[in-house]
Amino acid sequence: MDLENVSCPICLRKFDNLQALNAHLDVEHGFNDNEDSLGSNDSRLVNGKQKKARSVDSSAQKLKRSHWEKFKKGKSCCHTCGRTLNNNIGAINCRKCGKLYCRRHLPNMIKLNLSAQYDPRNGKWYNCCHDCFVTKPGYNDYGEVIDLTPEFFKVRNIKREDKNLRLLQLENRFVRLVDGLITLYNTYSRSIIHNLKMNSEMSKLERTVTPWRDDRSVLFCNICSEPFGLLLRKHHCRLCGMVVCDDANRNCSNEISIGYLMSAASDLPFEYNIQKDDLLHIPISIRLCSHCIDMLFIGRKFNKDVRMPLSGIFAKYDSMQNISKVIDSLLPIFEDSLNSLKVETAKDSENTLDPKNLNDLARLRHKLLNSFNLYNTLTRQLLSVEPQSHLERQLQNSIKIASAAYINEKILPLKSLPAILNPEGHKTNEDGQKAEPEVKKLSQLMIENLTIKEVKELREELMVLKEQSYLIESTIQDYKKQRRLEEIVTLNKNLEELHSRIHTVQSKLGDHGFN
Amino acid sequence: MNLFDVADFYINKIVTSQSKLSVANVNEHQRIKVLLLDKNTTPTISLCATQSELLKHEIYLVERIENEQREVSRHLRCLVYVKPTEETLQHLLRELRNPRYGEYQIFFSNIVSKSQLERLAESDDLEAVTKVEEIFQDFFILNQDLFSFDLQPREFLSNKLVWSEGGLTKCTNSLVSVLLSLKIKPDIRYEGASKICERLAKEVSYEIGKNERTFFDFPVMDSTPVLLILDRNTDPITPLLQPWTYQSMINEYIGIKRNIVDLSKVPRIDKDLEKVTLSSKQDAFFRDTMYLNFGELGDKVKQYVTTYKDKTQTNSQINSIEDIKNFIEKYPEFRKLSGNVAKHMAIVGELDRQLKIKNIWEISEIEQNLSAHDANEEDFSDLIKLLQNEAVDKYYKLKLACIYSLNNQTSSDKIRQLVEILSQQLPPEDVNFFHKFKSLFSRQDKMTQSNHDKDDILTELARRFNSRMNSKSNTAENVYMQHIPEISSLLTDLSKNALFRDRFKEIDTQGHRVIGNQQSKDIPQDVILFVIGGVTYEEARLVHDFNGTMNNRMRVVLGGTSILSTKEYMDSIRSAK
Repeated sequence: MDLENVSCPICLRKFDNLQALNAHLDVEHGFNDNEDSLGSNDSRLVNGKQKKARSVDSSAQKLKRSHWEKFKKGKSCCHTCGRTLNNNIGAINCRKCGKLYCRRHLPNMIKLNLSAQYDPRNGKWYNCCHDCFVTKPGYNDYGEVIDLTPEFFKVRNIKREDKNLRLLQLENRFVRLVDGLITLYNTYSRSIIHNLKMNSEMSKLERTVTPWRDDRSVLFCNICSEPFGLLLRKHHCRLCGMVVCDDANRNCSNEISIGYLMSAASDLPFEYNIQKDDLLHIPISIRLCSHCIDMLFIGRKFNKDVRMPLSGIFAKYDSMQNISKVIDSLLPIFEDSLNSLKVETAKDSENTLDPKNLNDLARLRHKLLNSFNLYNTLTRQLLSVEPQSHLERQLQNSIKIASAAYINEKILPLKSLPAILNPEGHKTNEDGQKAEPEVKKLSQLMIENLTIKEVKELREELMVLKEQSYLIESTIQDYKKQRRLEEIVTLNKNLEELHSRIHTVQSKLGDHGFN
Repeated sequence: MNLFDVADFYINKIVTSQSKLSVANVNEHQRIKVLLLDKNTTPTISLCATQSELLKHEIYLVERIENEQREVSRHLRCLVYVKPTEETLQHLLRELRNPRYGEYQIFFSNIVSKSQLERLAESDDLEAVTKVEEIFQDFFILNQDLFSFDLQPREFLSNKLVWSEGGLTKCTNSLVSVLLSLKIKPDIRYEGASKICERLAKEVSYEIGKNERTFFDFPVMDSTPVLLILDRNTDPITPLLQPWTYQSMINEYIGIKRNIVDLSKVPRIDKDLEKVTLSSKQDAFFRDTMYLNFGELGDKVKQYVTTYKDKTQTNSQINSIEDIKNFIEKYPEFRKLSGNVAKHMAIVGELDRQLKIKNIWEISEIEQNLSAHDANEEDFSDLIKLLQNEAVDKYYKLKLACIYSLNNQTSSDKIRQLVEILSQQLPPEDVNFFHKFKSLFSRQDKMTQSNHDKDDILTELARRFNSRMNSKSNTAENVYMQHIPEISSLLTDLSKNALFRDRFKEIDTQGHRVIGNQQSKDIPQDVILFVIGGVTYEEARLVHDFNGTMNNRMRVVLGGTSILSTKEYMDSIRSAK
């Protein structure tokens, strides 16, 4: 075997001979430290020269050891496999955390400085345990995410200032034009003789509000770029003054009734009121290009749609989500109580269960069953709403699948109670009879053949609504302490809705209701 | 370095996304969400998320941004997840000018340029956008340590030695997104003899340098990760051999397209099973069996069916309410299990059928012998016999001849004899293909042989594996797993820090000055292998086994421009200019 040009198996540095390699291993990688942990004596003979050189190296580059776990013969165990450490399996300290491991369970290498701290740039390679290895910074990191939102908002705000100015100009012109036209109409409409003058005055007003571009030099539509000719006539948009065509297919411009325009922009400060002044029937139209129509009305339509109250499927879904919050808050409480009861049953199987605990659990379960039933009822109501569109039909299908999965997942814990109640059945017939109706009811609920009288339904709904009301009141108290005032407004609104609903249900129940 | 964890992280980020600002016009009750995808992100989502997961987060609608017929519903919140291409951006700009939904939160699957962001901001007239983020998932995750870009050679190569402009950009961007998703700033090494490897390596290095302070600002590791770029054509034998592990067999004989298996052509297939999903992320049985060979797989399926029968027998007696309760309690798991059993039974049955009708057992044995042995007279004789067998499909004859030519470049007489037989058995275009194949790989084989390392770890593992097979007296099956892909020796070299410097050139992105051969690198702890021209599921199995063996001392992720079956590889060579 060639003993020259050997390389370190750890960092692959090359050395001229084995002695140099061994010295490197001892100093750089702490191999010499192993012997100390085992308490073995260094039996190797060295000449004075080499001994002197090594001692200098050791004193200069010794890794910190004060944090090392002490080796105790016959007692120290590997932190990974728990085996007692001895010469056969080795007893090595992780150089970073200092804990003791057997040779097999110290497989990783890490760069440490002389203070035994992770140092990826200037450190040297040392053995370390698996835990120290996987917890070093950046090792188990993944999922780079860059948030562009602030930059997006900044650019949007800059762009928006210009557009807002332009929009303001259009709105201003629009208001002046509408008010002026209606005024002229009111002035001249009563006299047939003055019709011609009215038209003339209106044209003059239109050109005053918005300067019209000279159309003699314009050859193409400003929007669709089609050339004007015998079949394509020139028109001016009354708001921007651009020359556009009136092609029905491309919709570059349209004459729109003034009443419709006003109702679509009812937030603008018009001098006249649509209903009061009966403006929907005034035979005045304004020609606008599609760009101005978009700029004026798309935003208004959008905001109006967004602020519209929830209706149909969306309202039902909102109620469903409120019920699911009740279920999600009650279920952990029920499961905790159930687990306590199971432990109790296992310990004292011969003793009678505490009636109070059992009653509490049964009551909680009953409450949950009512919540599930109401959730199911709301799901059915949602699914029976006639969809207004294909999109709503798709939503119904998805909600159906999701709610079925939800009930499937959440209702399983409720089945455990009857089994615990059964031992009671052997001792007391009355208890046995109590258990049976619960089971039947549960089966009916699951198979979805459940038929409940109106009174029961309303009672259950009332219970759930009161529970919900209580939860929201508690939340409001918490939010007041936390000064989350914006959310309190919303919660108060929800609370009012609940109270209103509670009142309605109580009225329907009459004497059957409870306080 | 678990790609599934990365996918879960990103998807969770999208589906649990909340509005940062309390926008005045957003109704507090708005909870139902619509997920808006494009043609690039749709398969990414379908690979990593199930419908029930989306429904759990109140995502009740999934739409495509290319669909112009979508209805307006401004009580919905829209989560947009798209790739920042020019085409998709145009759709998005149009959407924001007249928004269909009440609120938009936008996630891009790769880097967004400044001008793209500005145009987007300019279009948001109604301030419907409340969030814009970049996440990096511009690739397809197939296994926890395997990814693909799903690009075919005609999409990214002008000819066999030159990238197409669009292809290089696409590949570079996707590879950069892999690095960012794993938070890795690697040293790049590439196959020195391959021009396309060199070009891609330089392009990726340029992108990393350009974005060093913005995206690649990761903690310095004590061992720098390595990105190793390889060329499929330096190891042409591996994609030519018939595979014998479950996942790779499905890909070979039925086809796995983004984790979807199309069983519609299987005789007498049940309607529910015409299209099934196969993902180790969601299917525990598949996760346990995907790397098993066909013999081991049989045992597992048998065990699985036994479990199923036990459960069905338990539930066969439903007489009382108690039994109904028990049944209902287990119903979700029961239904899931029965569906899974039917799926895997159908797949295994189809695999077995095709193995028989295509004479795969015989073909594969000869293939393995040809690739693992050197200049064997008996092997050649077996090859000749099989070529003259009329029952064997022409495709497999051509493939066998190609495999022979790879290992027997210098046997002119035998090659001539082979061509003579091929001329009798195959149409002229196939004979021409053989000549083309032979000339294409005439030089490279010598280089490959000179770098063979007989002491690598996985070869030893494979030998022990074959020995174990022998001890089970399954001599026949031992034959089918003889070939060890080239990637195996590369992984061994990497784990010893002994990668040949001459063969694999280096681009140092850390800015260190390379002092010739004196500078010795530390052993890498994280490695990404990327194969231009595609990888095979057999190679994925090797990487998976290697990761298990190394037990965190070295983590490897494998990726390619696509996932290859033998037919796809042959087609890619056929169509190369």
